Amino acid sequence: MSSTETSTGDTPAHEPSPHAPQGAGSQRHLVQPLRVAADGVHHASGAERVAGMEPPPQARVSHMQRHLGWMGKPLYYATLIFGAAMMVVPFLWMFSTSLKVESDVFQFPPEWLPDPARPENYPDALTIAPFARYLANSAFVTITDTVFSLTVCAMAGYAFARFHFRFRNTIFIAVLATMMVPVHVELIPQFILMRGLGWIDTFQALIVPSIFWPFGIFLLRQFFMTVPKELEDAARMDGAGHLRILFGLMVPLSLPAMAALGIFKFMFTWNSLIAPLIFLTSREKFTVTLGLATFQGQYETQWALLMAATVVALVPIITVFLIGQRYFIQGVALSGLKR
Amino acid sequence: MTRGESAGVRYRGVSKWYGDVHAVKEIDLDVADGEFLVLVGPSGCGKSTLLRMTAGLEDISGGTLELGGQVVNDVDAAQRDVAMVFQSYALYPHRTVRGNLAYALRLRRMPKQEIAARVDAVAEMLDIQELLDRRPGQLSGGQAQRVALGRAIIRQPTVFLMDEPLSNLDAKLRVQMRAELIRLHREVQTTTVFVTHDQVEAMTMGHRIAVLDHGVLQQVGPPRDVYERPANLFVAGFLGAPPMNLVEAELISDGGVSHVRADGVWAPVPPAVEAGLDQVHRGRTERTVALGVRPEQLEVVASDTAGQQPDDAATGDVIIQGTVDVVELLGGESYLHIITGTQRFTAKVPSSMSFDPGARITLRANSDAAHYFDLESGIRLDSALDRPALGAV
Amino acid sequence: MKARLASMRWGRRRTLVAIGLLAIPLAGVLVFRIMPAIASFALSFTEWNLIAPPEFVGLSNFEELVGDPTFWQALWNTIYYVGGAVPGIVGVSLALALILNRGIRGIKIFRTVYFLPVVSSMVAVGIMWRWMFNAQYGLVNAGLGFLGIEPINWLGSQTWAMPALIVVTVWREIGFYMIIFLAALQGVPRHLVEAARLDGAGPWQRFWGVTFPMISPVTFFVSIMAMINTFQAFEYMYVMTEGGPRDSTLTLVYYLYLQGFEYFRTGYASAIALVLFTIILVITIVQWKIGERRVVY
Repeated sequence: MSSTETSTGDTPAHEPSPHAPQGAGSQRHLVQPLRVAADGVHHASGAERVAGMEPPPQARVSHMQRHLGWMGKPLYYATLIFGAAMMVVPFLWMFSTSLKVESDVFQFPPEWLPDPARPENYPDALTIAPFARYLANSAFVTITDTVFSLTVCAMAGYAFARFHFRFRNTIFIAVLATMMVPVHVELIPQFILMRGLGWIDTFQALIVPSIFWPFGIFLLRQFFMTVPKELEDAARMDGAGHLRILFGLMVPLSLPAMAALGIFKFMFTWNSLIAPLIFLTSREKFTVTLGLATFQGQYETQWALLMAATVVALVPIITVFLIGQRYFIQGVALSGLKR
Repeated sequence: MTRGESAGVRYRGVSKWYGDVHAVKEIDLDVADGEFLVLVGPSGCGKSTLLRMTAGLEDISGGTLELGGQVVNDVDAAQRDVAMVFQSYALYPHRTVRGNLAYALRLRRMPKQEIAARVDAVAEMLDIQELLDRRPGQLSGGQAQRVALGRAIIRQPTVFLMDEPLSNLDAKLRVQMRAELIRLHREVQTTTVFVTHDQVEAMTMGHRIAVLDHGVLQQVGPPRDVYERPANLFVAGFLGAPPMNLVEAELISDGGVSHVRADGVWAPVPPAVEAGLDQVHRGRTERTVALGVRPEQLEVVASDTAGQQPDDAATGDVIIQGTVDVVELLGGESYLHIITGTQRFTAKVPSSMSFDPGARITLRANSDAAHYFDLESGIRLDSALDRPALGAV
Repeated sequence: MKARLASMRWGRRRTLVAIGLLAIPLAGVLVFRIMPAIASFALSFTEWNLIAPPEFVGLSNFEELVGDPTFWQALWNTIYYVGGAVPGIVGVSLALALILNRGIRGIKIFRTVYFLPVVSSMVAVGIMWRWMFNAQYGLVNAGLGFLGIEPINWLGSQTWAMPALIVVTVWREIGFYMIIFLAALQGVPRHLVEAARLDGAGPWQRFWGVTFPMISPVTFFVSIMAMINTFQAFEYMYVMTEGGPRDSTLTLVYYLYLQGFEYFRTGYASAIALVLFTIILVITIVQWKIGERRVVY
């Protein structure tokens, strides 16, 4: 039958969105009998046409859809595969170039398979610039930032969600208001601040300002507000203090939100260019994005080497993504639905 | 499972204010050690607030609360050594059943072996051994209910607090769990305060019931006493299904038998009621009271009794004459809805009797089935002399 | 009376806990977010090269801005970039989501592939695409040559540099927005679509009559989000074109960066920042106003 019917069974089941875990199953049950029904109508319509009767409107629709479904499906796949190729080709091309001898790079029309292959581009790139160091720096900055940021957001989100105190709403709105201020607007004063603190060319300069994340506070507050009050009461009766309620109950129950935030933070900090560009001066402190940008400044046209360096910079984050993709995708979906 | 230390609960003038709203009004109540007390009342009557104050989840605005003789107003919930079963069960969704049971003990840094032993004992007691490794999401309502009970029992607290724990179960399970709770209480004998809005639960479960309305304690006593001698109009109307028939009637003392009379209704008034009315109505002239008769106490004397006057029946019984309006057949019995002029009555009669709507009918009840209340204060008149204060807030 | 006092005591205890929880987060937000925002505003009325003491100059930065052709160029470039990238992102990602929502086999693989660029840093993506767009040896021109199109000097041409950056932007972002659309589409109640089908609506009518109205709030939200993000474009320009050729890809943030951190004219850069802030603020307010009217179904 037509495409829409099969779709209902498949799509939701693949990705149990955190909000509608039961929806998928029940929809599937609903759909099966419907499909049978539609089929029945179709056969009946054939019989009616033989008998010289006008087929009922439903039959016409289902017939048309059947037609479109046959036409549509391959078209969909063709579009998707073409799109997917557009997504992958630049990566493959980069990888291919990274294995070429520098002189082979300049061939037109381009060749896909490096011949001869020169894997030495990788050790070369890694020795010319300390990419291992850059990666370690990025890892340190990103992980520290993510962990502290989630902690701070959870604490503030909990306070805003569950405590009553004077000026609570005013303070909360003030925090929200900072969400509207683009990071770039704050760059110069932040630079001056860091200079005043003596934090220029330190990791603190990258980590500390980034920890305080209004969106994170906002999202966690929204999530914490949905945790039933009785659960908190139960934990209190069981002897849990506020911090234990926060980290032993609220946080585990808001895991989808925590994961989403953590992933956003991770991606954002890992990929950030402007903060390292402004705050870091010595090469051994560079993060991998800044290191790569600087590297390209020096080896602008040595494409094989440059592509090798880019691959090196991309491999860790892509690996993290492939391992945790479920959370990445859930996180993004969540951020769209939650506002 | 061994029984923990149990303790009584004593409320002395306990109040709760929310801003200017007086939600719980100076409750004085003693719950004896080992007693099963049911707090009952309509929603919003303050019973849950009172329970949460007992638990330490709400602060006490006024008065004192004692647990086992100690004033605990300022003691944190965790330190009160009371356990609570919540209406929604409030099981931790991210922990297994075992984890839920063990959590409180782990927080108290109990040795692992002892925790395991207690978990096993409680699981056996509640017959949930095979559920221990499941998560709450995989449990049925009844199973979750048992786990919630287990989480309270395992701590061996001095007091159990239960906040409408059965209201989320379907009717059949509720009956079953009711019996089970009674059995459990017999086993552990821990003081229990049980909150419900369901009067069947109230009647069947408690040693005593305490009826609450608008934050005021209306009556406390064994279920039978409260049912048979409701202290005021509210309690009379609240307990019993179908509810007590309550009608406005005028008291007539013309030298003969004092009685009340309303459209189609005649009932004798004992001297204690009259004395009570005089006490309550000091200085007032009108003699109107509320007459109450429970539906199951009415019996059919004669169907099709057109023409007779109720006051002819000088038998000393309560007599009601009217027209059959609706008959509800419930199986073994029927509810008979009767109209007498301006009043409506319900009678519970054997379903073997059949009636036609519109038929004239006469009902009677023993004189001691009549309850009399003051219309204004709601006080039960025959006890107005000994307890004038109650209900007259 | 005594009753009220007791409850205040308890209330204060909870307030203390709240203060404890909020102290660090609020101090941080204040020092690192709110204060810089205010300082940025204040700085725009000064002249300061970070060495000599700052000097109050009133509105002269803004006067200079009005007369600065490079600023206008940057503003125009930014609008061009946003105007090109946002419809591209929204259109393509919505189309992909609609197709993926039709019960495609291998949806997981497609999702992964389309999401790959999202996790890749803009710097890496920029470098990768600089090579793709290489005038003589780039794959893009090779592909176009296949179709009989003459090679284009993408990044070296004032005409083509910005479209090239728009292509890269759309390429990287669609996976992200596609996932949001997909989530929204899965939230469209199935029974509505089925009902429309029984009423005789074809696939096209079902989309415009049922599905689209249901996801239009998300479309709106996604457009705004994409707009706010693209307005702050910097990385591709930094990595791929350095704002050139001849300022044809110079954006507001890039200009801000140049003035602030290359020429050390912090006051002037702050004035640019204020313009950027105003634009984003206006978009946000428009979002609220419109959002209030039409979001809920």
